[in-house]
Amino acid sequence: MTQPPLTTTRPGTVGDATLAARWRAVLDAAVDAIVIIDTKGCIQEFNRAAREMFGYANDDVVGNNVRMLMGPEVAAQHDGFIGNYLRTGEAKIIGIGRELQARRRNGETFPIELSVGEIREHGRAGFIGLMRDISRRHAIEATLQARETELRRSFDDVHRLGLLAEISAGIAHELNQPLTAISNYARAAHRLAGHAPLPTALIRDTLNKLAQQAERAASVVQSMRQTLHQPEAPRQHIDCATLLDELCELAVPELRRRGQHLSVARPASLPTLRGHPLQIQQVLLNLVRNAADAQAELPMPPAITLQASARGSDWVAFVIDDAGPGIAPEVAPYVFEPFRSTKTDGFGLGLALSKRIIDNHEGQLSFAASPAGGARFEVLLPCTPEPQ
Amino acid sequence: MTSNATTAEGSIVHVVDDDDAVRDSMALLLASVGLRCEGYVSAADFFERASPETPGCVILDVRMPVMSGVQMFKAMARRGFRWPVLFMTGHGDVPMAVQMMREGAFDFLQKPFHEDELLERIQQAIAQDHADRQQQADRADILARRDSLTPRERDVLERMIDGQANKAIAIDLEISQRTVEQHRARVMRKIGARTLAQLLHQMHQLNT
Repeated sequence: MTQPPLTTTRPGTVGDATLAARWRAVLDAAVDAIVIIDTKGCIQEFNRAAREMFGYANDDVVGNNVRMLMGPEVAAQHDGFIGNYLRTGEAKIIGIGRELQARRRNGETFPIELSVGEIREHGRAGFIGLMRDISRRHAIEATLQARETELRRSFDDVHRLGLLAEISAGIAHELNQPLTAISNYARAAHRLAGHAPLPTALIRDTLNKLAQQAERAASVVQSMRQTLHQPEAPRQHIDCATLLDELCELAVPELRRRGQHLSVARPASLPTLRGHPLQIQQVLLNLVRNAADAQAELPMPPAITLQASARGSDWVAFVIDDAGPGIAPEVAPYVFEPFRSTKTDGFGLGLALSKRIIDNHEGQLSFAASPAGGARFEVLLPCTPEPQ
Repeated sequence: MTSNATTAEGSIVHVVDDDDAVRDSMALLLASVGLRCEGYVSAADFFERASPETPGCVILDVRMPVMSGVQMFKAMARRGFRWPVLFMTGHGDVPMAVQMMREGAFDFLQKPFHEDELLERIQQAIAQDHADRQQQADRADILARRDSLTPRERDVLERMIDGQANKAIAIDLEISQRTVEQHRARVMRKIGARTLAQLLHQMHQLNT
C-alpha cells in the first residue's frame, strides 16, 4: 500500500475506480475484521468479516464512533486513548496488538485480538484495526483450565482418601481396645449376675469400669474428630517453653515405664511459634517415641536428647537424637511414606502424619545420621513476631 | 465345658496385653467362669514372672510396644515355653495370622471377641496343653524305662523292633535261643508292655 496517487492517472497505472474496487476486494477477502476510523474515532470502513463478526450492516456503523463496537470498559476510555496518542505520540497499542472485549450488535461481548496500524494521508491521520474473534480459543482454554482444575481436585481427593484410610485404621485400633474391654466387662457382669450369693459389689464395680471404657471410646472419637478438624481451627501463638513442658509431662513417665530417659536442652528463651500446639506436640511426642522404640533393644539405652534452639532469626529447631540402629539406606527414601514402618506393630503412619503436620505449618521435617549413633530427626518451624 | 473342667483345673490363662483395661476385663471375665488368669503388661513382664511348669495357655496381643506379640511368640519357643498361644488382633492382619498359624500358633481371635468363641478357644487351648503335657510325661516315662535296659537287652530290643524272630536274633548275637527268650521277657517287663504290638507302639512314641 504505497502512496496511491489519488488524482492523476499515469500510463501503466490504474484509475481511481479500479483502485477503489481492488481496495474493496482486498478488504472483503480478508479473514480478519478490518475497521478504519478517523482521528475522531468515526468509522469509515467496515469490511465483510467485520460485518459478520459484529452483526452490523455498513450503514449501521459508518460515520458512528467506533466505541459502539467495544465492550463497556474500553468504550469509556477509547476517545481518551486516541487523544493521548495524537498529543504525545506515545503508542499504547499501535504495532503491539492486544486482547480486549468487543461488543456485537445484539449486545453480547466477546474477546478479540486487536492489532492497530496508523494511516498517514496528506497529513490527515486515521487508524486501521484488524480484529480476530478469539472467543473459541478462549472457550477451549477455559475448558482445558477447568479440566486441569478438575484433575487436580480429584488428585487431592485421592490424597485425602488415602489420609482418611490412614486415620480410620488408627481409629479402628484405638477403638478396639476399649470395645474389647467393654464387651468383656459386660459379659462378666452378665455371668456374675447368675452367681449365688449375688456378688453385688463386684458387679457394681464391673459396670462402673464398663462405663469408664465407654467414656474412653468416646474420647478417642472426640480426639480423632479434633485431629481431623484441626486444619480449620485458627492458628494460635505457641510458647515454646509451654510446649516443651507439656511434652515432657507426656513423654517422661511413658519413657520411664520403658526404662528410658529424655534429656531436654533449651535456651532460656525461644521465639514464639504460630500454629496448632496439639499437632506440634503430637509430632514431637511421636519423634520421641520413635527414638525410644529405636533404642528398645539396647541393654543400657542412653537418654534420648531433644534440643530446642533458635535457628537464625526466622526458625526454631527441635532436634531429637537416639542411639538406635539409625535409618537403613534402603529405608531412607520411604521414611515419610505411610505404611512403610519397619516395626512389626504399628501402621507406619506416625512419620507420614508428622510430615504432613509440619508441612502444613510451613516447616520442615528431616532426618540424618545422629552423632549419638542412631537417627536424628529435625523439626524446623517458622517463628512469628512477638504477640501484641 | 464340664467335660473340660478337670483339665482346666489348676490351669492358668496368661494374658499379655499392654492395655490395662483389656487385661483387667479379661481377668474378670475368665474369673466369672472359674478360670484362673494372670495378666502381663509386656513380654518382659511375662518372661520374668510366668513359670512354664504350670499347665495353661497364653493369650497374646499382636500390637504391643517394645516387643510385639509376634516377637514374643518366637522368643517363647526359644525359651522353652510350650503353652498353646492364642493371638488377639485388632485389625485382622490376615497374612500375619496365616504366618503365625504356620509357626505353630494355636489360634487367632479378633478384638473385640465373642465371649463364647473366646471361652471355647481357651478351653480347647487348655485341653491341648493338657494333652501335650500328658504325651510329654508318657515319653519321659518310656524313655526312663528304656534307659533301664542292659546293653544286651537293648540289642535284643532293637532286633525285636526290626521284626527279627528269636532264632535270627540268637544267630545274630551268637547266643542261645533260650537266652534270647529270657532277655525278651525282661525287655517286655521293664518297658511295661504285654504284647509285641504294645512294645512297638511305645517305642514309636519316642520317635514322634
